[in-house]
Amino acid sequence: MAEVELSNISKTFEGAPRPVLTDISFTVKDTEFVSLLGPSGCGKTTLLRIIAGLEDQTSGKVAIGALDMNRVAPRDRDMAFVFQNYALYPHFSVEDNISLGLRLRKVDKAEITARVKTTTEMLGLEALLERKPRALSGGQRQRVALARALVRNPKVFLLDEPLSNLDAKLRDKTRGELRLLFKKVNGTVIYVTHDQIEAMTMSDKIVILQEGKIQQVGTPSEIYEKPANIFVATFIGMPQMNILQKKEMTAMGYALSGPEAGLSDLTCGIRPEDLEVSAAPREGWLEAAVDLCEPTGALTTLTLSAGGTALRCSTTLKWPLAQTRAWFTFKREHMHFFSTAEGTRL
Amino acid sequence: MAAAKRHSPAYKFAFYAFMLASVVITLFPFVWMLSTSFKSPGEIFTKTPTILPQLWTLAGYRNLFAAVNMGLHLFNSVIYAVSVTVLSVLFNAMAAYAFAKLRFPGREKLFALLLVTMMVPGQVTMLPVFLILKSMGLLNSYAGLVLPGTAAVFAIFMLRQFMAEIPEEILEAARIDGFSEFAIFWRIMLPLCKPIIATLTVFSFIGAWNDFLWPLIIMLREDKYTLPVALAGLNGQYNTDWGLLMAGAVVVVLPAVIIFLMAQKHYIKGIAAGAVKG
Repeated sequence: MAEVELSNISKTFEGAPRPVLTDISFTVKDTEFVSLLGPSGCGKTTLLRIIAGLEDQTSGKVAIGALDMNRVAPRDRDMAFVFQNYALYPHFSVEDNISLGLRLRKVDKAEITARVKTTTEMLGLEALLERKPRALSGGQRQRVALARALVRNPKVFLLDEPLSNLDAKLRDKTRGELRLLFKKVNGTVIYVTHDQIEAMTMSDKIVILQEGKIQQVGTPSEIYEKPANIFVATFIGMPQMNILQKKEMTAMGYALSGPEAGLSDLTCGIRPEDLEVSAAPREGWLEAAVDLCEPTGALTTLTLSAGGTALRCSTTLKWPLAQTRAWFTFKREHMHFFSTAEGTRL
Repeated sequence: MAAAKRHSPAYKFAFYAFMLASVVITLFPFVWMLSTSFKSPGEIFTKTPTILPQLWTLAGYRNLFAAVNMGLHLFNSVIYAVSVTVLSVLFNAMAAYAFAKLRFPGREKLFALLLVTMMVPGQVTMLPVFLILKSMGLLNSYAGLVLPGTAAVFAIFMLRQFMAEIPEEILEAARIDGFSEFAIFWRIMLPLCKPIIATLTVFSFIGAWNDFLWPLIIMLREDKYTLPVALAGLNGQYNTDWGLLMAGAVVVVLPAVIIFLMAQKHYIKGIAAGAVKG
């Protein structure tokens, strides 16, 4: 196991007008689980491929355990890669798929047998060893791909959206299993995903990317509680954070107090669960129309409109469907403030 | 291919009648060849032709083996067809792999140039190739016979199209697993190309096996003739022993039929793979 350090990685594809990655630097500590999170096309998969050596960066440095990897071939980087579509060898059996990496590295035969056995038992693949990949279900293929990575006991695991081809229920189950699995083997993991739930639930650290630039690096709670800019604030959290301009708040009749009140270049962010809402009028609360009520069981999401601005609000109240007026207020201590011009946190 | 709509019985009848007629027309020359090879010279020229010999005789085959050194020409033919097939599949697959999966400057232009050469008829290059081989001292040799057939643009094209469909991730997984570039080609790419390789094996084997002109040109001595060239020599100017000639034709056709039947399953898959994506 080892630390991965990226310094000033930039990448421009040949003939492309703009870089896909700009000046990416961060460190993945030994045994840490780090997610690269961002919308489609933000460059997260390209970054993972650069770390694996499948793609060359235009500039910058990849180091693993203090060793410069820039001129090192993928097979000599001692990393394992789990592909989004699993990329199993279709003409080899499950056992061969798992053991080939070891055989090519001239590992002792007895050792290979032992490691394949441990890994396949851990993943519940013992009964499938003789099968070809086409005779497996999506979930089984995914586990074979994981086994192929785990059996090598590499320094670093690189996973490219490994759950995206599974159905919602299986994905939910596998998420937890994956986390436990990598904890058990003390793996250093870099995990690419566009699913914030995966990133939030599995990671020690999240790197948020947009248009090839790092927006924020932090623990899931840091990112949720202290988003570095408006993009991160709205990208993380479901339903999305409400973003309000100062004049929209004034139009609602909300008077901002505290040190931010005097600033003119100000955008406020408030998460839907940080709105208090009531079906009956309350002293000092603002009145709004209920445009939409979406009950999901434990939580109900309301779309309110006040002073011409739409607001979303999550509540644990059993909201009466016929109720078309609501009274709400903001939890002042949970408000986020951003510079309107820069988009950055104040 | 799956019948999406139901057809009327009359349509079906016409369809099967047409297919049956096609089969008869296709098979008749083969049956005629086979039957003639077992007929006596008298029966071959009867007024009312018989489909099956009334008197079965192996005279045609006996005369054939007496007239030419069958063992020798068969050996020459096998050397030619097998060498061309093995080498061309190997070299064409290597070239196709480079064109399909390796990144190098000028790749597309080079491939386009290769395709352009397909428009040059073989007869045009025959003389220059002959002269080149002559200057290399390869006339009348197996090397000279085989060498020009070891690369075929059409095969490179077919293989490249097939290889392009194989997901890049499989090769990348292999690169990370520790395969060398040649091992990726040999242990991943070639096995995955089995259907198209079977197709091209049949094409090039039958092509070389039946080839007449090139062996005739390059081989100057009779002991180096391949079967078709040797058999052509039996066609007399004033009279022809048809029983003998048909026996020779059967001997020539047989290996090609066997090869086709062996590779049939993959062959059909390979043809379909060229047409239907997925």
